[in-house]
Amino acid sequence: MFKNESRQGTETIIGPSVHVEGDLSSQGDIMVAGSVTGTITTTGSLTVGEGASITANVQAANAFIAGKLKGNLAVTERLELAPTSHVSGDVVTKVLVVADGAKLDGRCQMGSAAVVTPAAKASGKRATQPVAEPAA
Amino acid sequence: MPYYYLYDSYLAAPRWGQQLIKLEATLTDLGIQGRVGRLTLLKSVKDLVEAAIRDGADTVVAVGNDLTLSRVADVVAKQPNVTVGFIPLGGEQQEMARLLGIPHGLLACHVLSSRLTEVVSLGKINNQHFLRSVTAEGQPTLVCENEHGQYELQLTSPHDIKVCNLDRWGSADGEIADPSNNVLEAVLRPHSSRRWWQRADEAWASLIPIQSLKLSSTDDLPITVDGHRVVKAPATITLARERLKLIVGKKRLV
Repeated sequence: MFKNESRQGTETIIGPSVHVEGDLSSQGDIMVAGSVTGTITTTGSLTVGEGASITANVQAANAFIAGKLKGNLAVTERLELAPTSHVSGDVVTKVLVVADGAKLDGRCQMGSAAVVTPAAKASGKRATQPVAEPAA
Repeated sequence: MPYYYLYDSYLAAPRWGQQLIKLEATLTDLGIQGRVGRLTLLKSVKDLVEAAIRDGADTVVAVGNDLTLSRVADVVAKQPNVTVGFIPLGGEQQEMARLLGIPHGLLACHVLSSRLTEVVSLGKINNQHFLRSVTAEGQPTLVCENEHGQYELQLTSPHDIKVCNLDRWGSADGEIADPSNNVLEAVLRPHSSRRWWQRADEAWASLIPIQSLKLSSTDDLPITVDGHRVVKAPATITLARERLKLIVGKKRLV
């Protein structure tokens, strides 16, 4: 039922047949294989599976994206985009890893000087300027 | 510390007579004998346990199986100074004995006398407490709340839903929910499990920690509480404010 090696330490798992609507928050790791609309906030890691679809602003310490994400993505440490990923929105991260075939449609701020912005509404529109506020 | 022993109704059968006599002798030898109450059609758990507590009992021991312990826990939940013990008797429905590290029969008396206690959380569904889990089957609407926010879960197909406090998430050797982490774990498993042509990851279950879950459905949705009581949707499942002090064994799994 659960992939033991991939869910160790994962506090929240959204399976392929579940759609979440609202503000999904966690202090632990989140794994999404289904769909989410709203906001996702975690102090841990976010993993988005290949078939997953997210229309939300995301804040996480680390993120691994293999599916579709529409919204702004603010990652305090490492963001990894898999070959099957498609991100539409602005990205702020300290370290960015983009695999061959990944699609990123939006602006990207990187490095230790990049700061995490507070989550805005997930309207799909790009922010006009990066807002300099420290991560919570 | 006055003890009160509540015998489940199935122990009235003649085949349990000798075992109960030996049990009572062992309890006397250990110095933890107490009053005995027997569940019958005319005497409910609530009546017997509340009367015992009024008479001064501060340790109520469920003698029977998982259902016996669950019923006692529901009544004792409202009594903060009462400790719950358990003596498993009978082969069926003894998962709690495994989880709490309590051996069957006479050996459980020694666990009781050593009095190693754990404080565990309780769940609450509408006005009833539950110790283990709540299960339902179907495609209801679920609204989850925790300390960080609220969100709605929409299921694209019928699911088996299990909200665990102190129970295994799935199979007999599956992971065990932690009753001391201040959350309930909601496990949502697609009803039609993996077909032969599906990859294993296509039958993933969802796991969501919650503090409150509202279940509602346009169809009839019976919800089973601790394996025996049934309530109907809509229902609100929360982490109860009350906690339960349980006597446990050293080899407990929680």
